[in-house]
Amino acid sequence: MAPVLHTTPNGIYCPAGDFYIDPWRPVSRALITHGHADHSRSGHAHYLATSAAAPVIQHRLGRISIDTVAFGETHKIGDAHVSFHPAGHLPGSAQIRVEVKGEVWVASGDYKTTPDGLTEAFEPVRCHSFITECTFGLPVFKWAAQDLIAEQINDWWAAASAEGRFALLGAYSLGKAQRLLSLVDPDIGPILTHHAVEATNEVLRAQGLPLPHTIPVTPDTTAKDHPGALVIAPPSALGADWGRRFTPATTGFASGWMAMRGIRRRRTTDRGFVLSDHADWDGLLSAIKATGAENIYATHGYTQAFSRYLSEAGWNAQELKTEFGADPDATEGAT
Amino acid sequence: MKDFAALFNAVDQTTQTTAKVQALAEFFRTAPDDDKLWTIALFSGRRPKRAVTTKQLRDWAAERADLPLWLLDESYDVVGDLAETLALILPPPVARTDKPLTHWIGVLQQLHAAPLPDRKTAILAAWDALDQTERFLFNKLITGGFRIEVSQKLMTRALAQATGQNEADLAHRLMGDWRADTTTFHALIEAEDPIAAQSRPYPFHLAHQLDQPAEELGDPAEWQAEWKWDGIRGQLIMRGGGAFCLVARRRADDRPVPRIGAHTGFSARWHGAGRGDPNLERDRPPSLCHPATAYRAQNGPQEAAGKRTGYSVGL
Repeated sequence: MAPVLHTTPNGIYCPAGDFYIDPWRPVSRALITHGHADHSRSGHAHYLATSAAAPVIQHRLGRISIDTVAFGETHKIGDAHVSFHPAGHLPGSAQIRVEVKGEVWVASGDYKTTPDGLTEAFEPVRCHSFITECTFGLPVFKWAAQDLIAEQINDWWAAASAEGRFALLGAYSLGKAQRLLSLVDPDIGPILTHHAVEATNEVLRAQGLPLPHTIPVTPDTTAKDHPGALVIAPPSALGADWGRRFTPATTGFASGWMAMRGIRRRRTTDRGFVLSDHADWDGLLSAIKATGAENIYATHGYTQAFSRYLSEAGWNAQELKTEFGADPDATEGAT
Repeated sequence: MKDFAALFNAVDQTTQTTAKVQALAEFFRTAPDDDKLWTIALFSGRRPKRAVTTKQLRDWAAERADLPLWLLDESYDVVGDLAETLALILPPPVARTDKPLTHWIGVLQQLHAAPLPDRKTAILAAWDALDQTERFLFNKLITGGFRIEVSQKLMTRALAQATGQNEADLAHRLMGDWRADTTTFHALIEAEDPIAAQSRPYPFHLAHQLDQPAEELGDPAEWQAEWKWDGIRGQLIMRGGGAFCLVARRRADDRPVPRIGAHTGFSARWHGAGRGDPNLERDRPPSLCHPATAYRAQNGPQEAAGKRTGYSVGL
């Protein structure tokens, strides 16, 4: 019997339903976990995503043929029963459960197990086989509680504001930027946003997400009209002319990679805040245990070490080569 | 250790020189003398004698974190720093305490002579008492190589701000082969030092182009013109019956100074320590000069680029 899911040159494929999950080459039917560019690519004939994820996907990809489903709702596609379940990665993000003749596989997409207050909380789904990301699949990655990081960010912004500096905070425009917006204290000062961030904000606000008031930066924006502002923009924009208008400034970047001092220092930002929308080491392990799966396919990250660790711990684990994890968001908005 | 960790974070978390100096100056104003002394020592590449090997540290940390050693090593490959890797993988501390930096250095110094099982017990207990940054710093006390961006110059400036002393005088005091476990903050920084005063060099200056027209420099009588020679800069200082020689060089080597030797009739013997030379910087304390002329030259003066090194000559 063919496995429920396997990889082809186009992506993760389900022969029973003749569809792909987050395919990296154009296909006829694509089930999309979330709107990040390495999972949601252009060129597919037909898309299926959660109704919470679809607006951003449409915003990013333009005119596409897309159907939406609610979380937890089961659809029959060919001989496969398909449902989407919250992945906690960003608003609308899903794990995709595929059941064929009683055998259940789950493709995690990207996920984090701890709630962030903005995103539908991660829901473990029982399955036989679990395709899990492992972006941070090494034991050096352990996230502190979100409250603690929020406090660090607010203290940093407040101190900058008191010194008459701008606080420039680098964040990917979809997901991290909105999470940061929901964590910062708008009483400290005005919040300015890059257009890439603001465009996503608008889409998510229209869906009813509670985001604080932001001021989009335009070519006419004069920095000194907004003293003590927090400026949220893609990291590449902060290092370019776009960001240089905000002086004097202190710079920060929020990412799981900031857990490593070497990376923090190479970025030459003043502050690195360890805040990730991916599961940390303990999160990955607890998620895997909660699925009850015997077969684990590790993708997207430290696949080799992670699958070896799982194998030694008694799982039937292996690496699954995919083309996720390139970070196209990191270079967006350079101008 | 809390205040030392806070200092480390403050310095590590900014790229602004003024902020680094401010944090250091604040520490030098408020910390206990022993901690100040050790901080100066650590940030200038000195550390206590190594009490345990990195192999032992890895084994104990893997055991404590309940991880296979290969996974720790794999993580180390990614992180690129052993002290940091261990700090990151260890479980949260269960017996958090706040003891000063000097306490932990004392712990390590005593371990040097202790039997192996005692060393393990002490290291595990330390890990259990310290939070992540403090653990990282504790591990660095063992593995060395702080790689913190505090040049001798910044540290001197901060000390000057904190003590009200002249920066050049302090720079001079920090030169040489002093050791944190054989001196005190008072002796190093505050006490009168006749030899130091007598041998104090004039600052070594790099020649650089004027950034203003020469006419704007003011009265020529206030200036002294020198030829700019290629080669190694040196100063021979003869004051109060003593003779002192300082030479600036980029790299450490043991060659004598032929001209000074020839012209003065001294047999010159070198002692040098350069930041560029890992052996000298890390492990080998520079040997002492003849007591009559011993002075603090071996580790400095470090100029802004950190490349210039002072040498002492026993005359």
